[in-house]
Amino acid sequence: MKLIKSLTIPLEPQAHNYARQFASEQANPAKGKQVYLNTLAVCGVQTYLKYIGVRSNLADSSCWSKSDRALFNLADLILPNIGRLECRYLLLGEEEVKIPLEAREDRIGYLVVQLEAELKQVELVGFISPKQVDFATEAISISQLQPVENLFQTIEQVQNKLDLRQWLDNIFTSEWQPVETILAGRITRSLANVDLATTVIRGKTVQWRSNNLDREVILVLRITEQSSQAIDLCLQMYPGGNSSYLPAGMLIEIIDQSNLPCMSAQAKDTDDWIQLEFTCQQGEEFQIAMQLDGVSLVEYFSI
Amino acid sequence: MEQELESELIKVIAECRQENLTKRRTSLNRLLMLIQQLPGIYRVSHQDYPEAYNRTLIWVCKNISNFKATTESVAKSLVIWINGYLKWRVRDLYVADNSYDPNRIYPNAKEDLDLIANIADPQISLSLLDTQIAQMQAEKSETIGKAIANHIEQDIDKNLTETFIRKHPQCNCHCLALRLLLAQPPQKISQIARELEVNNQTLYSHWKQKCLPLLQSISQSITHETN
Repeated sequence: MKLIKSLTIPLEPQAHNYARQFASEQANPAKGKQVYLNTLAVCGVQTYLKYIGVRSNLADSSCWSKSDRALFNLADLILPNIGRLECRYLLLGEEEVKIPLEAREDRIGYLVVQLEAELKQVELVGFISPKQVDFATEAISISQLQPVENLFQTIEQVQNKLDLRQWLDNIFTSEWQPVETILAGRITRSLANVDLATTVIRGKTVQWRSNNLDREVILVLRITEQSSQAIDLCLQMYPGGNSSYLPAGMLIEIIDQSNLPCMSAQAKDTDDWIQLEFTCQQGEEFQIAMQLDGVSLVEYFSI
Repeated sequence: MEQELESELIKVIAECRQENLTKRRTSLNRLLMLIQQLPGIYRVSHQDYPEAYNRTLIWVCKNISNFKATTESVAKSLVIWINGYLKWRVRDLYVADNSYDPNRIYPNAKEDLDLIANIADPQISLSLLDTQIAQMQAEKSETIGKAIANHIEQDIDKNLTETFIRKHPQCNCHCLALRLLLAQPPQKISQIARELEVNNQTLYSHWKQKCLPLLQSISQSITHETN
């Protein structure tokens, strides 16, 4: 007999009370069943988050709004100051998690639970990163689910997002070094002749391991204040360590706050730098996603 | 298995004491998996037992750093420690005027649960769900869901029909709402785009930027009227 490596959460009668009421408001039994099971999934996940000490706000979540749940297939749960977590359910025997069109954006992730026949408990099955989902993703196979613990890493990443406006006030975290230090002795591109009153340039070393190789690149970010509302950004990537070239195939993407990739660049065999330029408005958030050999790293920013 | 459980518990409980929040949550997740396999956790057949059990696990996760083994077996000590709290929470269930969770969230601050919500029905199950929901819906003369679906289907003021992608009047919010929201199962964006000879991304952007706000405003005004 082996130790069980999954977690079940008992559903409280109150979860069924909510589910019954919400289902009875719907246009037909099929929609009612969808709402009933979505409600159980959300309540189960909310209980789990309470165990672990992650705050959630069910009352302001769309699935708790009468008009939204009548219209959409939603099982969202707001995590204050973090984002919206979608709770998708699987029924016994189902091999893929359906992602409704209305839940393919604006999510920090998807926690997947399995409902058993008696509907007395939910079993946590896995996590789907928003990077696995785009507007055309109808479903994710259960073989592609990540461990539930990846939710906590996602929360940490989102909470650690870097407010780039602080750079304009000369506030920096230690990992983002002056460009003269981090790129010492290297040829840099388009970084000279800038107005230091409105422009800040900093760089950071990014390390990871793929295909049994230690990899390293240097990210350089130049920000220029255009106005109080807009900031121009120039993102560059250089080889790290002793490499002369970027890893071939290395992809860098800018992901907007709706989790949609809006621009990308990919390193070819002998590229020694790549660059992306874009503008952000005040209050906007974005991610820099780096991918190589199936390994993906994400840095979170706000303006 | 007993020995494996014992050594795993010692390791995981130590890891639950670490400072890094992400690592601690990961360890708590593992601890919870182990707790549900512990023999001897107190159980009763009260229908609200899950509430007492869940409240206990919240307490366990918060206080695990205070746990000290009181017998030679960490597993047995943990069961004693957990049951010590759980039995009190179960006792709370039998207190007549128990207001168990004063922070319980109701569906909407303005609307309390209606009568149907207060009829406890422990007999519900997946196989009976369709029938039970059909009965509940039949008891209501007009549901909010029906009112919204009717409004979308009829589109009397043509608001939905007249909101379309430039040069593609057939690709309008009425047609998209019928296919993407009301159809069970909903049709795929790619399938509709192919049929209507529109680019996938263009169709999705139109749906998101034009149709969704329109539909939400219709739904909200119907909900408001019926409240």
